[in-house]
Amino acid sequence: MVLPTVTRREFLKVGAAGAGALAATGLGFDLAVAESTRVKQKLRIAGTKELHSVCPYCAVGCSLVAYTRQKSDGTTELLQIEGDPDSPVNEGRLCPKGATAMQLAVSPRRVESPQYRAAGATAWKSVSWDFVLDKVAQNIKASRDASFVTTDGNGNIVNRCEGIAFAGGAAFSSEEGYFATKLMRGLGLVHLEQQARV
Amino acid sequence: MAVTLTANDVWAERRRRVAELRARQGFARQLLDFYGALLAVQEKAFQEAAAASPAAADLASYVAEVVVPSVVDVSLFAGPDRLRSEVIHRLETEHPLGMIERWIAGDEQPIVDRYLARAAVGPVLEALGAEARARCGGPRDARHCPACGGPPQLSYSASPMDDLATGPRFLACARCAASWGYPRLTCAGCGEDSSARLQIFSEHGTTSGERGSVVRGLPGDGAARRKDAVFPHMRIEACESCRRYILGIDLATDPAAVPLVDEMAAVPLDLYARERGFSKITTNLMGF
Repeated sequence: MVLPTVTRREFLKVGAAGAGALAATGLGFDLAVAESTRVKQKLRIAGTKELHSVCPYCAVGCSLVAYTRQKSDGTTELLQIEGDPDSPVNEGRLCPKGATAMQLAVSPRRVESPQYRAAGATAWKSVSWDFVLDKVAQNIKASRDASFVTTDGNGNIVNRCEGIAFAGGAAFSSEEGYFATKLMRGLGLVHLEQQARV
Repeated sequence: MAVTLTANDVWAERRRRVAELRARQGFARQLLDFYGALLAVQEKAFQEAAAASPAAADLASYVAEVVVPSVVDVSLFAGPDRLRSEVIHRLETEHPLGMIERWIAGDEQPIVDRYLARAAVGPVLEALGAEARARCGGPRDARHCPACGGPPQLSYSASPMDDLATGPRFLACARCAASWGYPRLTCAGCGEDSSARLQIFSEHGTTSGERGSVVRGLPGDGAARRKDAVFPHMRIEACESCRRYILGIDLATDPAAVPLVDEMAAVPLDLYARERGFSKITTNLMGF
């Protein structure tokens, strides 16, 4: 592609014409423009994005609008969460719990590590995720082995675990619900419940 | 409970807001002084049109004969120098009826013609019913006024019924001032609904998180609140697909705001948006 050659003189002529055309488009409120320019230079304006989300709490599945801003260090800052007025589910409304959904991300009192209270202990203590996962696995295995039933009262083979119940959370996706059910059925559980929605 | 304004209340509200913003936003005083003078003419035109109830077919001729002379008078009396000279120059070469007809048809026209036509047609369309608005040209789609086909002038979020709710979004018509519902996360100019392409510019400290509150409708602890925000209830809603923008007014943040007046006085936001290469979907009555 051949770019047209523009001399400095031509560039200035074009620029002056452009500026003149811009000025000519106004109705003459020059004082307001001058004062507003001064105010504009002092405004601390930042760009934000609005994103759709879904409340993580109950089975209603209220739609949210989340405001985020890209910080100078590249991380994303969550600024505000409100109900989505265009959602047929909640029409912009949120319950008191859903309205505080932002606390899930920003509350300084948010618990950031698993808490464990040993049998007989009176206080909680912070533990690692590895400890918790091992502990849960050991407890499930122990309860399953202790409460596994191979035959019922009439001698029918049932091979089921009657000592554990499983309740799936409201925020489960379909895939997570499917996986949880498969896992629990594999262990022989028969008491399954799911607060399914999304 | 929602309050329905009568026609007279609408004009009183506009006058009240002009006085409020004039006292608070000195940078817009020149605009608001002139708009205040124009409002008196428009309110009179509104009342006369409501009483005379001209036939919809006679809309353009009625406006040209009855309303335009008053708009010209107030423009020459209270307008800035350039507006005065341009109005005189245009009326020497162009009959007002042609300007009115082009505005009603939705055609392109010089900025002074458009100003005269808008200022004169607006109150008459507000006073007359659906039949007059239906005679106006323009698409009847989601991005244009369902009543008259006019383009959107501004966007506003209605005041919600309670603190934990968010009011729906409306667009207000540049031609007849009617409002219609429009999705929140969608460009009013081109319909873009990818949030990655929609940019919102607002002053620091105006979101609930920055105010120290996790609930949008409730006041925060005040620690991070910027008391000197000039436009705490306004934002620039820009689209990176069509490179256009519209100003949004949040009535939950400032229930006393009158979108038509607040939008007109927010010249610093217009300058900011244009500096970033966005053009307004529809310039307002004052050409911003």
